[in-house]
Amino acid sequence: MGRLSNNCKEARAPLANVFISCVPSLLFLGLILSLYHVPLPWTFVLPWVPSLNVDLDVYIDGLSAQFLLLITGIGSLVFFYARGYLAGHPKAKRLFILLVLFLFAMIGAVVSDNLLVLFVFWELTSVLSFLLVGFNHEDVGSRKSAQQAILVTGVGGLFLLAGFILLGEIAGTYSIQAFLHSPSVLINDSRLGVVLVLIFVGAFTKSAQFPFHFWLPNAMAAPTPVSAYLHSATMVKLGIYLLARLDTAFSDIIFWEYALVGTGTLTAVFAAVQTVYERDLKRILAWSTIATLGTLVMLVGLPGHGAALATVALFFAHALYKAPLFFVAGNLDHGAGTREIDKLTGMRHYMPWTATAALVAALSMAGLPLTFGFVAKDAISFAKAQAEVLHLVSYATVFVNVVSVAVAAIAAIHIFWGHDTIPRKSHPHEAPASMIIPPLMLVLCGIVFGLAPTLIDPLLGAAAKAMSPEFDATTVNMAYDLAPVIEVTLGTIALGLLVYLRWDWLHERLSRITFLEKVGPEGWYLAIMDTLPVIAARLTRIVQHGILPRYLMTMLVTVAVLLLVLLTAADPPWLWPPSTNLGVPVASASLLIIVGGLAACFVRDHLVLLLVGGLVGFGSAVLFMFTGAPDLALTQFFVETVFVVVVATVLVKLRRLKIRDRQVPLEPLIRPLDLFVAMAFSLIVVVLTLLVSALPFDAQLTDFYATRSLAEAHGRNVVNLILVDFRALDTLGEISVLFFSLIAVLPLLKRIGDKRP
Amino acid sequence: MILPVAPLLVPLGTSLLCTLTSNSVQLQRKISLLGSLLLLGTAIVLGVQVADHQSISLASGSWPLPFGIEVVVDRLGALLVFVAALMVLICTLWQMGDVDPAHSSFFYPLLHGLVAGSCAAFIAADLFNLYVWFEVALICSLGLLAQGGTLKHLDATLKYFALNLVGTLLLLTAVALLYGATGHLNFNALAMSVQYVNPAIMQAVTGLLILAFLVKAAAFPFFAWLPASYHTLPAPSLALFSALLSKIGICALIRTLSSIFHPSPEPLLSMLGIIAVLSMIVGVLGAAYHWDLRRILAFHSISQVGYMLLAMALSTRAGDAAAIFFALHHSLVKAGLFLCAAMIFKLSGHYDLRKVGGLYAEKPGLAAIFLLLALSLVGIPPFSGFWGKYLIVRECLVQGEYLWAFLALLVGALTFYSMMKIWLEAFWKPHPSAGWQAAKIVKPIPVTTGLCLLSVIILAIGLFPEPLIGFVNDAANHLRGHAP
Repeated sequence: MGRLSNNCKEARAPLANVFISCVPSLLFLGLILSLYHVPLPWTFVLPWVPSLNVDLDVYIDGLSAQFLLLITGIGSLVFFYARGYLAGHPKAKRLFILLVLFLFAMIGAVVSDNLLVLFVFWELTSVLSFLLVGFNHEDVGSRKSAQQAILVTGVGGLFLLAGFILLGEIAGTYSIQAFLHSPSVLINDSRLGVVLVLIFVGAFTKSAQFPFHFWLPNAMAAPTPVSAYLHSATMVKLGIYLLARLDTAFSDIIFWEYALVGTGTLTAVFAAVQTVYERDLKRILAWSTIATLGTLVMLVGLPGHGAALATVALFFAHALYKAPLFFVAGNLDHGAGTREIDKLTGMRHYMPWTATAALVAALSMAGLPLTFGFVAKDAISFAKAQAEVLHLVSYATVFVNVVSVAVAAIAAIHIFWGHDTIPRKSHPHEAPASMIIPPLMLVLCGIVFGLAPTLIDPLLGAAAKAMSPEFDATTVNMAYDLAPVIEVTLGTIALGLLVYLRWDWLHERLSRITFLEKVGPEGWYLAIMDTLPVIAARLTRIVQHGILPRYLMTMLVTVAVLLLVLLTAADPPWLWPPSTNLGVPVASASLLIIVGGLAACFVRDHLVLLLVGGLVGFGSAVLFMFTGAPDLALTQFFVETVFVVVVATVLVKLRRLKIRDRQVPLEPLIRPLDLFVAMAFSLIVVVLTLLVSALPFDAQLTDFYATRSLAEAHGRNVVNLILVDFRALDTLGEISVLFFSLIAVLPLLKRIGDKRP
Repeated sequence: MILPVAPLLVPLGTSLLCTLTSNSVQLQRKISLLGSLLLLGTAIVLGVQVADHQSISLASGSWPLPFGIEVVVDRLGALLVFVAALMVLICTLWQMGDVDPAHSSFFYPLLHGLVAGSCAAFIAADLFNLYVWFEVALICSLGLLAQGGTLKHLDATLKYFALNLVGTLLLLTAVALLYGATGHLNFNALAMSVQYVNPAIMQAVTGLLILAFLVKAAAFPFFAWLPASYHTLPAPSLALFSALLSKIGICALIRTLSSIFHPSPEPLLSMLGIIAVLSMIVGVLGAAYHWDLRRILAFHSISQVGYMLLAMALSTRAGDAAAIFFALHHSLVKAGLFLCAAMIFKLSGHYDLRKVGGLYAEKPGLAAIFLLLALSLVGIPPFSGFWGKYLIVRECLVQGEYLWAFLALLVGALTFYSMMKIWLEAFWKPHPSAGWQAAKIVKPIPVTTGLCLLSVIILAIGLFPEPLIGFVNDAANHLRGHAP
């Protein structure tokens, strides 16, 4: 029976996967249809936490729509691809569930108008990315990569949260549209710098900008569909989405422009250099993704609406060529069993369809005319011309483009052309249709939009308008009309091919320079991860030593010091209590207490200790007797006597049992440090008591008890009445204490009894 | 009406009945279950009552106030009583499926005794009465700690007792001094009369009182009793301990700071803030250091108590509300995590992370629940902890305490780090021995019910926080009365 149901489960699992994998396609179709019918921006409000100004405000404009199309469109293909990639994998269903959750989290993030709701979804994408990167969790490398990814983006998320809260406090609202329309409140506030830095850290960690970029190449431990989807097409662009969203409000601030252009350019150049270090195709693609992300950040920072258009065009172009290249890497992994470029050459003989996809994607990546990649490059050149950027940034962009041409050549030419001369155990084979169709469809889109950019103009225009409200449609056409770009493009491609031809030589030269690994940001991360346990261990061993007397000492010292500080900070009136004539009885009672207390310090024998302790009790009773509380004195005498007698009986009995067989080594009776702490602590408590005694006493309560006890409580002994009537609830508690101590100790006593022979 | 004292009488009665039936565990269990359900019902009725009226109170013996002892159930009290009822119910449910052989027949009486003491402390409106219920809770928790009976347990019990006794003595001294300075014990009467006492002396006396409560709340550097004892308990009892014990101190602190000594003197608040921050940091680093699940979670408690203290140190209505929200969230989440630890122990036979593994593949349901609870503890949206952290960080930023906000977020990151350690080791890492198979749980339903119940509540708070946030805001407003 059990086996039968198991079989059924296995048969049903792929069906569930098929169903789940259709979710993004359905959403994509629905989206396309509704974009035709519903004018943008489309808004919708659902109250969620009104008392915190956090509501589910949905706001979909061109920018959101563009992201939605990418999320669901690329998502459809990724899900389709994943079915082939993970065919027969026992945990395929888990992957699909996580991917669907991720899909919804992404959708939530790009349609939210409320910053906090955006943050909620933002964090969800981080967590899901963690689970997806660690999909192969039996492998320690995957676990470390997943941990690194979430620690970097998670810490960034915390900064982002602080930034959002502060922004909300300044603006009085969390609605993005609300403060985009009246940014002056924000811009004139002195806290704006802090807010921007916090938001930058959040966005930069998510979008893998220098110095937080290092997690992204390591995240390639994820299954390829995940890398293609999260770490190239969607999640890593969320940071840029946020910056693009806020661009309208802050684009006039110099700091905004310089920080974004500077960080973006630095990231792009750094990543381009790092690309050459790698031999794994997926990691090469990851670094080139970082370079693109850097370029995007730079474009968001550039002023002018040309930059807005360039940003959205590059968004699209990158998704259309980078995702197919990731799929190609996956196919190689699947068909040839490796992604190392040294072991891959002449693959087109075995994998013709994959080779086709790789070639067309590479053309777009290199920015050859008639591809959508060219359109994007065109728009970037126009943006730079319009914004009059520094020469340095221009050169940097050219450099990054050259490297991306070289990467494209590696992916298309090096791997697929030539002859396979590497000895292998088995022949590489072509991937199944489900893994070929997605990349082919994407590269086809790239060609179609490259040939006829007007097809996608309305969407790009609408998206750019969201970033730059003055944007108008004519700019789109202007951007495509730049003839001089051809020369630059050809120059870039020639240089890129040169780099490609010298790739191995460059790799060898660069690999000798290793200092970057040690001093680079990843080095810092590793240093923190190594030091953290050491610090934690040291600190914990200091505070958790397990030695009871030292714990007690810590407590007493802390209390004494803090009380001293509190007392002296406020400078109370240093008064003695009003002097009353003490008389001989009170003095002798006090003497009794002092003698008892002192003697207790110097006695080792338990019985004697008990007796000298009794002195303190009897002394107190005498004291009560002569300070106007004879009833209290009576109670005290009684309790003390019973206590001493009972405990003495127990002690004597215990001695007879001889259960104290473990000899405790005798310690010196007086330890100077302990003595000092004890004296200091008592002194402070005594001083405090004296100060309080010097205050006039409000005798309202005692008078009430004295006058009402006979009249209303019908008794003469006030102490008894307080115990059983006025404050009977306290007595109930005390009785409970006695009762519970009894049943707490009973099992222990039983055990002692059992052990006795 | 006797309703206000019901949170005390119901568990006390249950405890007595369980003592009388100490020769039959079956009967004890039934009584315990009934008692827990009755307490839960009481808590709900009280919650509805205080949502309608501000608070309901009772003066013992019908003596006029402030001469009799007053018991007041307000929103804070009702909320905490609800948590206590829920925890004792879950603990009882767990015991139905999984009997710890070390338990004596006095386990149930002590369990309900602890609940009685805690609940009474949550609703006490009289300083000395509060002290008495502290003692009841203390003695019952001692009894529960000593149940194991081995040397390790007794060592833990001794440390727990000695260190808590210092707190108790400090509390008693503070109560006596306060009485000497004002002549009152009733909270309202105290609040009225402290204003006429010399502020310098009052500051020191209040400081002593707060320090005593801080011992009970396990704040730095008074927390040693908590990690010294928690790791010896079986995890289900721990769920109850962590939900109740430090909360008694927290509840008392909220009450004293917001409704007795307001406006609280500035040096006192700075002191509290520093203690809060140190608790947060030391606690989380301790958690990062340890490998025993129970120790990790125990140290997290110290760190999380720090968050509550930080919110209180802000000394505003929003700060109080944040502290109450956080206390509630922490009780539920930490209890859930301890139950997860208990499940891990049942499945793998160890609490030590180095000796467990492979649970993500074996038990995806447990993994999902743990993930939910862990993310909630860390404060990842949309789980309950996020709102707690958000409320605290926002109030810090509003009050201009940027450093505190920064530290709260930093400690959040460290919390994440140490929770991830559990996830990586217990769930993702393959089990150290190759042929390992998870132990079968004999009676899964009672054992898992509690865990599922907690998860559902935590998820509900995370997804629909509005009612609870409204409730704690009202609670904080009521505590501060008309004061700013």
